[in-house]
Amino acid sequence: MTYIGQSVKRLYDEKFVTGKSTYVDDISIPALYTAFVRSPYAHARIKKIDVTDALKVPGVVAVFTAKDINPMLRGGVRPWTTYLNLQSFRYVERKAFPEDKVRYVGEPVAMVLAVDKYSARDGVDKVTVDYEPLQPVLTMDEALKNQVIIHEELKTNIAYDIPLKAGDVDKAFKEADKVIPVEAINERLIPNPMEPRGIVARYEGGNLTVWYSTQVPHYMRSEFARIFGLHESKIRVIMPDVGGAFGSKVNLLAEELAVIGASIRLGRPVRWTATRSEEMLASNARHNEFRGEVAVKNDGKILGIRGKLVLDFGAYVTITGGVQSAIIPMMITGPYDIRNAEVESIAVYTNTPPITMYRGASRPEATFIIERIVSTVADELGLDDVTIRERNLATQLPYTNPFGIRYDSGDYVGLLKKAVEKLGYYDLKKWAEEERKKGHIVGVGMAYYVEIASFGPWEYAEIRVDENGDVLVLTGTTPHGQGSDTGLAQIVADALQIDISKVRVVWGDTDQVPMSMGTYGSRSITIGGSAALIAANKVLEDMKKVAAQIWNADVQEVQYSNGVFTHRADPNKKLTWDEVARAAYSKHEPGIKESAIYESDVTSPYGVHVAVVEIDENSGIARVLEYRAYDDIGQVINPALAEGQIHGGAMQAVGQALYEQAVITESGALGVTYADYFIPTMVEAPKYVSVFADTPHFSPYPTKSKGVGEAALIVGPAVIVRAVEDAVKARFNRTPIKPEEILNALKLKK
Amino acid sequence: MLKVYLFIQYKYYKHVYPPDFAYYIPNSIYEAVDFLGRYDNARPLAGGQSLLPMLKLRLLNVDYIVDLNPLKELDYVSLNKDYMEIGALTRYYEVLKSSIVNEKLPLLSMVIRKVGDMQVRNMGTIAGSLANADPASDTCAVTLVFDADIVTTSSSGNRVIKARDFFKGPFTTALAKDEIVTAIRYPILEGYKFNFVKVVRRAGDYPLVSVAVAVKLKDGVIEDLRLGYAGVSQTPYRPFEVEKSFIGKSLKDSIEDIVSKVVEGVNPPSDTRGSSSYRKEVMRNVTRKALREVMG
Repeated sequence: MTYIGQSVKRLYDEKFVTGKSTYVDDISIPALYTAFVRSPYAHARIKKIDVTDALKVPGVVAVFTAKDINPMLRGGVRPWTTYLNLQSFRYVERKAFPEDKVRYVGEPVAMVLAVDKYSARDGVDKVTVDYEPLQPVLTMDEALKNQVIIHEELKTNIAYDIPLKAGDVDKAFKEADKVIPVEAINERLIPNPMEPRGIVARYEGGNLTVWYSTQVPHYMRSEFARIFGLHESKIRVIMPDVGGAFGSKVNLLAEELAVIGASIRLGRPVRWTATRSEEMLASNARHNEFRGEVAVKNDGKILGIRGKLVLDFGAYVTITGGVQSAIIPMMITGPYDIRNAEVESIAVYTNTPPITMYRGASRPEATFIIERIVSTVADELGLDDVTIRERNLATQLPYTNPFGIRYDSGDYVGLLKKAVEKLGYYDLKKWAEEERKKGHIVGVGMAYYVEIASFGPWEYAEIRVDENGDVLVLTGTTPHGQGSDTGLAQIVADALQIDISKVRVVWGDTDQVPMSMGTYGSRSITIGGSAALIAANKVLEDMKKVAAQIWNADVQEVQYSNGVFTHRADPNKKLTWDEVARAAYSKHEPGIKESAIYESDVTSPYGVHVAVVEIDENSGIARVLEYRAYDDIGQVINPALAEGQIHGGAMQAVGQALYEQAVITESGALGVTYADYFIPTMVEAPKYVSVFADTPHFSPYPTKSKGVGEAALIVGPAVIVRAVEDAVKARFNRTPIKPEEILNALKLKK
Repeated sequence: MLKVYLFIQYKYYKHVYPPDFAYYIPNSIYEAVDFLGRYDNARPLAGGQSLLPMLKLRLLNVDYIVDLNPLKELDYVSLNKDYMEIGALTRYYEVLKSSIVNEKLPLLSMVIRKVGDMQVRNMGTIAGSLANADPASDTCAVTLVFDADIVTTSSSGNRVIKARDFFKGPFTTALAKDEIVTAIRYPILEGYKFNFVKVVRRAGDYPLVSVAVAVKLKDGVIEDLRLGYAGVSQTPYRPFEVEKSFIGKSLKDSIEDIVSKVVEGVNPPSDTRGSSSYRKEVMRNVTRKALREVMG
């Protein structure tokens, strides 16, 4: 029996589809409820906080501010030490509450703890805060001027400023036939997982237990230990069912530090579940601007790129905000063989909600920039989108780009040709042209991507075989909607040649799983699966040893196939998997348990996606009719799950390209309802076609897989923007493209 | 006469965090309006599709909620000689399900089919939308196209307010403090052609612009023209003067003139959905589209 490559149905979905899953908010525990007093100002000095009246509200137990909680903390939120060099950033570790001034609208300044959430919310209305408003810094341009400083200690608003240079850029521009200016802008987004974040903290007898909607329970355990000065061994972080995250839950909020601090201080469990508006404040994403120029030859060969990337960090550095400033510039040459590049990457603080990573984390931004560059060059030189790419794609794999990023395997030109054919790109183009002649405003666009998936440095897996022969897989990855748990079960069931119903996968509890990195960066199946595969292979060896012992034979003499152990020399000797498992527990033996750490680094999926858009001539509103994807993601473990990732990512790409923009008003307030933030619905969903390469290029991982969790949101915005350009015959360099811009462009054309 | 009211301190929905309010269940319409008259800061609750979100976001603080939902006598659709009467508690869903509404008021059905989303239509009511008077409400705009009679009840009795006199400003109506809408009477427009065009950026959103059209033609000549817009003004908008000026003219030859004139009387808002000038442009475009389609 083989499960790998089959569309095995998701194993653990019944509870989700019947509404019986357990999110943090579903956990019953006699905890105090928290509501936060939030700043109405983007930038203001806190003069006085008066909590007297709030304490009189029936049901309110305590009101805490910076002076109550911050002294308990030995540190605060800082960049992700797994991937980021702390020295690269200018930052102040963020504590539970600001002590001197507020830095964005919605920043918590006090917490009200009460016996129910209504009293807590009523208490919030009774806290009086005196502010002295300061000039807010709401745009990146303003921040760069450094006239108003957001973190005085830093003496600048610039959080990160590292130039990258490779090759001979000056020479490239000197040799160019043409220098073409380029621009690529991503507006601010909100990741919007279905489950808002939530936390329950209990501190008893020196032990801290945290039920937490997170992607990284072990990393958070270390952070809690560091920040609260506790031993990690005294902390248990439990990730219950998590209803989506998209990277935004690798994020330690000030609010969450306050909840833990309050539970320690009061010696009582304390809980907080974000309202939808609070969830929208908790994580913003993207928001960056690239401006530069490209040196090209008339035949389309790109000689060099130079430019400046400016990124918004919001008011504070988060764990993942710095990922973008560090990785985007390194990937700016995309899958193309461009050896000369110079990018200055500057991240600034503004008086806006903090930025985190979001599905793709830097690869979507880099891909949008390079694909805008390539398509712009094509237009300027009168070349077609396929030809320009063919002339520039890297041809020798593995390929190390000028900034040292290594793309491991693939056939970039071959895939381009295959994708164009399989996705019917030219047929669509022809169809669109005919339709446009009839007055039907449609367009077809394509874009190419290579990304880096399966971030290291390692992942953990443990496999236990119980006395009935059933198998428990403890994975360090932390699935929260992807279904990668099913993929892991497939890998283990295949390795052990047992029925998949005997395999159960668990994760997310630091007391159960000894160590882990987590789920993000399209890593679970590949690095998590490889760790599980190695542990499974060890388990099988152990099982053979047990069989050998029973037969008093050498382990070399034991053969295993499809759940049955046989003796090489004596075919009458047979033992089933379950019999051997039981024997492993007899005579007070501790049974079979193996663990493995798999260490590796990124691998590189790549592909071509195509979109068809239709534009309403009356309003300029664009709809994506079809979204087609052709991806080489190495070995596909579960095609249905992989396709699901393409659909979901493409849907978010539709959102980023055409609908979603987190609007900051003139006073600095973020729009925090879905009346202000447009998430596309099923009505706006395109028809999907998802094809995986028939001759995939494997990764060096034992699973041979690469990763697919982010691909469609990495390339999708560039694809859809290109389709709109084709329909309107005008240039668009910014996501989202608004209906008004499209209508104006259509009018200009007339 | 001394009346004793029953007050229930009631936490309405588990996941909603409105401020405390008292909740009153009237036994009759009279008790409801009497209560509204006696107590300040009291709000009637029908479908709750605007009221509850506003309470939840604490955009609105009320001391009392007067729940009209038990007043089943306000839940009906009845066809009279030349008008259709729809009770104040009739859900959008019920209106859509009604075959006589579909047959006699096709324009109303066209509009209601696109109100909010299914959940909103399951709970929401026409009367509630009218009383809320959101300038972006298609229900208000179409009611203005009919110039329906809005029947109200207060402690001093019943009265009828013409739709054109009902809307006073954004979220502001002619209703007195102790007055509620109890029914709407839509005239049956015989011999008219109808159309409804609504521009939304994504399903379920407020309209950027919508237009409801009723036009009566004789041999292509306009006998009556009614255009009702949502999303373009402080109130639902009908360009009465423009409409009148085209009576007696050929619709086919007048479309471009109508299109250019309808925007003259409005100054649409600018917001995240688009600028004022964009809304005007879309208003022109949907008017053209709606009228062309009406001509077939």
